[in-house]
Amino acid sequence: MAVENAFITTKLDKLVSWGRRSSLWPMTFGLACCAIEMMSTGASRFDLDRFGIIFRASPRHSDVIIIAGTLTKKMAVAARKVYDQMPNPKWVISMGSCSNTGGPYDTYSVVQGVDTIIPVDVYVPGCPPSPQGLMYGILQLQKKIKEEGSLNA
Amino acid sequence: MPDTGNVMARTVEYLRKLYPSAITEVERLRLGRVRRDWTISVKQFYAYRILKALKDYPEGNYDFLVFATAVDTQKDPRFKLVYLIRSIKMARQITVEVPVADDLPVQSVYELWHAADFDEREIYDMYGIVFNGHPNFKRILMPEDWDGFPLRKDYPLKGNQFSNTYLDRKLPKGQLKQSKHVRMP
Repeated sequence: MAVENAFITTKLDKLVSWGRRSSLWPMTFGLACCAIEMMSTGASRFDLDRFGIIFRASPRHSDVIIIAGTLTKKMAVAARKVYDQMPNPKWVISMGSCSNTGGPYDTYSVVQGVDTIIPVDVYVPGCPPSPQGLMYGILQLQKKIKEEGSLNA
Repeated sequence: MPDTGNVMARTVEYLRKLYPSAITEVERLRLGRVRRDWTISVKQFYAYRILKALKDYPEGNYDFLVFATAVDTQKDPRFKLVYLIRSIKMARQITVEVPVADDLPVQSVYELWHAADFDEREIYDMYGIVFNGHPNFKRILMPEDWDGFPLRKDYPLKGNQFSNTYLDRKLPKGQLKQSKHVRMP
């Protein structure tokens, strides 16, 4: 940032981070049964819109990518490509056991944890996590952005 | 409704009359009280002709391919193709098993049942059995540059040198990390 004054930078960071965490737009990246829970979380019963969260179908619009489901090696190439296309600052939520660690699939074709290919901010455990679990994960991410700021993210 | 056994017996009799030496084995499986599933083993040389004869069976065409799959039997010959085909008209189904060798191409049944399209690609993907006469013959599940056929019994479950280094070749250099957890063997 061009602003040299630390006081201004901090205040600006607070304002900008408030804006960013209040309108987290996730990249739609549903891969398996976790995607069903993610869709359920986004739909009217649990309603992510009230957090300012609107799913986008383009990585260029997105601030956060929710890796929801089993990440195979074939898909990992695409996941990395999508992540690289997202503009900074960007965050990653790893949703579900398969995405966190590979889950039950300790096999030749499954990535053993999405953190081996992209940096993850929040891990949501569960198989699949309930919508409440995913919402809690998103709130944790908002808390993280609030506390750590987003100008240097 | 005619007895299942009679219809199936007539079908097998019809095939035997057409190709006397094609069918090597007939197995009847009793499922429940009434329904019987018949399984016939066919020599690879006659397989396509037998399947075509079943499709054109005069009493009621076996015009529906439920699925085609394969088994790695680890015997000689190594693989066994399995076709489950059904006659909608007669409400009967028959399983056709074809033992095939490792390296011999098989005639595709795509021309008989278009449903065989994806199934044969999957058989090739998982077992490496090559089909002749398929319109779009390539891998269906694994990446197209994948090496090895995962459902063969000698393929290691947790991957080999190729599969473990697959992402190293595909992703940006130096950004791939080792997983943080260690699995039990």
